[in-house]
Amino acid sequence: MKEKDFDNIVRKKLEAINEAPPAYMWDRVASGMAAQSGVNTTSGLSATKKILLVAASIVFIVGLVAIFSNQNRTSKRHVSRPFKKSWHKKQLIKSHKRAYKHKVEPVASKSNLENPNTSFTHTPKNKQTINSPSKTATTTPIKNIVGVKTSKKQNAMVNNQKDEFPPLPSATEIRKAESVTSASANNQPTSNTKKEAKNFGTSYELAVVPPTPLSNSKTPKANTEKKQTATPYVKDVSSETQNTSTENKSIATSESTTEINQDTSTSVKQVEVIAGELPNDLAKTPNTEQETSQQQNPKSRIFNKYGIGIHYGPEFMDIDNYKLTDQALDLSFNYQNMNLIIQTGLGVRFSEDQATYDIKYKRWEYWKTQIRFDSASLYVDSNGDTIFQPANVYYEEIYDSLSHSYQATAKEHYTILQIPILLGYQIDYDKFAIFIKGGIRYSLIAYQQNDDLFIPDENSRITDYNYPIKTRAKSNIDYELALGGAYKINKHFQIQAEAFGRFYHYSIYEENPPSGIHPWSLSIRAGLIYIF
Amino acid sequence: MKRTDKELRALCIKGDGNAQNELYRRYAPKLWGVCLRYAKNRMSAEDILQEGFIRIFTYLEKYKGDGSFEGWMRRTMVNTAINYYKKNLKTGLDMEYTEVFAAKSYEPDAISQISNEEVLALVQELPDGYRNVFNLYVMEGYSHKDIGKKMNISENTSKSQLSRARSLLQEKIHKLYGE
Repeated sequence: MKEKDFDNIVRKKLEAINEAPPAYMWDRVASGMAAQSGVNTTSGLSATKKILLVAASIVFIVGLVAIFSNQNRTSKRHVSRPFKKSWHKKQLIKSHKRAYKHKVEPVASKSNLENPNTSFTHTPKNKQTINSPSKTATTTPIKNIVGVKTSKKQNAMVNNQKDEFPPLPSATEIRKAESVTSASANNQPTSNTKKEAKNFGTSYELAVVPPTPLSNSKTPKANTEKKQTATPYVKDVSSETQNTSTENKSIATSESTTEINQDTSTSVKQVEVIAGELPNDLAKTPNTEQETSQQQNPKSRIFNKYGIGIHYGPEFMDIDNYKLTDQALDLSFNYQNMNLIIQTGLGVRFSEDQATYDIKYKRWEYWKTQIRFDSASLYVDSNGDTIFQPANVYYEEIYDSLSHSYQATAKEHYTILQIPILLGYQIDYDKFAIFIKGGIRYSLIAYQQNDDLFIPDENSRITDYNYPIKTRAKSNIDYELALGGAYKINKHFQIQAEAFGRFYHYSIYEENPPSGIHPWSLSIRAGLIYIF
Repeated sequence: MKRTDKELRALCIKGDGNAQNELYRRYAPKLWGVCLRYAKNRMSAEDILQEGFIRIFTYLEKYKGDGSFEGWMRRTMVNTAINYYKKNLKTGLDMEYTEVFAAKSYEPDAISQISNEEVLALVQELPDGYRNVFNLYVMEGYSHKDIGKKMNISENTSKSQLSRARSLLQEKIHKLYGE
C-alpha cells in the first residue's frame, strides 16, 4: 500500500467524523471572550468603559470641589454687595424710607431747603413710631423715588436715582441753594448731639441713628425742631467726609438724592458729587459688616482644605467561607469643605490566591531491563561431536519518556489597582476629628503572576496543564463605608485610622453564569495626611 | 431568516453576542473535528476550540474576504492548535523516545476495517510532534517547507516525523486488525 493511499484513507476517515462539540463549550468561549476583552460577563461594562466611568467620576468630583470653592468666593462677594438681604441692607432701606417720609413733610420742605442735610437726622430709632399711620399719612407720593421701592436690586436703584434726577435748576435756585449750604456749614453741633454721638460705636450709627428718639417728638413741628437741633452735627458729619465712614456717605447720599427729587432747590453740585460717589461707597459699606460678622461668629468661616495622604492596611475578605487577606497601599487626595469631605486617590492592593493545576509531564526514566542477545559461538568438534556454546547475552536497561500526572497547588499573585471615590462627613474638634464616609471603589487587576509550577527534575518536562477552574475577574466594583478618626499633630499633619466595610458588586471570580455570591470584606488602615 | 456569513461577521465585529453564538453554532462542528485531530485528548481539544474561537472573534475584522471564510477559520484553528502545543512544550524540543519502525507495507484491508473514531484515537495517540506534522501534511495539505516554518523545525525533520507518524499508525493498525 502506497503512502498516498494510506494518507487518503486516513484523511477520509478523519474528515468523516462529524461530531458536535460539547454543549457547554459555547459558555467557555463566551467567558473566554469576556476575559479576553476585559469584559466581566456579569458586569456588562467593558474595562475601557469602566475606566472612562471612573475618570468621569473623578472629573465630576473635581468639578464639585471647584463649584464649592467658587460658591465660597461668591458668597463673600455677595456679602460685599449692598442691598443684599442683610441687616445692613434693611437698615439702609429703612433709613432711606424714613428720610423720604420726613422730607416730604410740608414744614420740612422749607426747612430742608434752607438746610438740606437735616433729612439725615430724621431717622427715628423707634420703628413703630416711624411706621405709624400718623407719621406717614401726610406723606406725599413721590414718583421719582424708584430706588426706594425697587431696592431689591441695588444697582437698579442707583441707576434710577441717577437717571431720574430732575432737570438742572435755574441759576437763581443754585444761588439760593449755595447760600443755604454755606449757612449750614457754619453751624456747630450742640453739646447734646456730641454727647449722643459718643454713645455710638460706628460712624454708620452716627449717621443713621438720631441724637434723640423720635418718639419724643409727637408732632411734625416738634420733629422739625429736633431735626433742626441735630442739623449742625449732621452737617458736620457730612462736610467732613474724610472723617466719616463709607456707610455715612452712602446713607447721606441716598437720602440727599431723595430729597433732591422732592425739592429742586437743593444744590445741584452736591447732588452730582454724591451721585458720583454713590456706587463706590455702596460697594465698600458692607465689608465692615462682613468682618464684624466673621468676628462675631467664627463658626461661619468657610473651610477649604486640601490634603494628600498615604494609607496602609490589610483587607480581610470572605467569599462564601473562603478567606482571603489582601494588603493595600493607598495614596489619597482629600478635600474638606466645612464638614463635607471628599476623598479619591489611587491605590494598589496585593492579593494571593490558591490555584490547583492538573499537570502532565514526561520524564526520561528507566522503563525496563531487557536481555540483549549479543553473539553466539558454535564450536564443532572435528571428531564429529558438536559442542554448542550458549549465546552471549547482556542485560540492557531501557529508558523511555514516561508520562506522569499530578495535581499541583500554586499561588497566584495579583496586583490590583484601585480608585476610590468617597463622600463623607467630618466633625472637627481641637486636636481630633471623627468622620464617616462612603462611596465606591473600582479595582482592576494590573499584574498577575503564579509561582513556578513544580517540575520534578531536569529530566522532566511539563507537557500539559489545565488552568485553574477559578480565575479572577479582571475588574470589580465595591461599595464601602468607613468610620474613623484623626489626630491632628499640627496644622499640616494628621494621623488617620479607619475601618472599612466593603460589599463587592460582582464576584471576584469569573463566573458564567454568575453564582450570585458577592464577597464582603473588612479592612483597617492607618495613614498620614498632609493638609495644604 | 438565516443570516449570511457576511452579515454575521459584521455583527460579530460590533460585539453582538447573538451573532457570535450563531456563527459558533454554524461552524463549531466542523472546527471541532480539527481540534480533535490536533489534540491528544478531548480536554485539550476543548481548550483549543475555546482559544481558537476567541482568536476568530478577536481577529474577525482582519478577514478581508480573500478565500473562503470557512478556510480562514480552519487555518486560524490549526494555528491555535500548533501554538497550543508550542506553549505547553516548554523545552521546545520533542525529546520523546520513539522506537523507529521499519517501513512496512500493510494491506489496505486493515485500515479499512477500523472505524473513523478509532482512526482518530490512533492519531491522537501519536506523539505531539508527529501528530502535528501528520495533520498538517495529510489533512491540511501543507508542504514540508511550510510545516518546517510553522513548527520551527527543519524540512527534513518534518519529512522524517511524517514518515515515523505513518509507520506508527500503520503499526498500531496492524496490531489491532492485522492479525
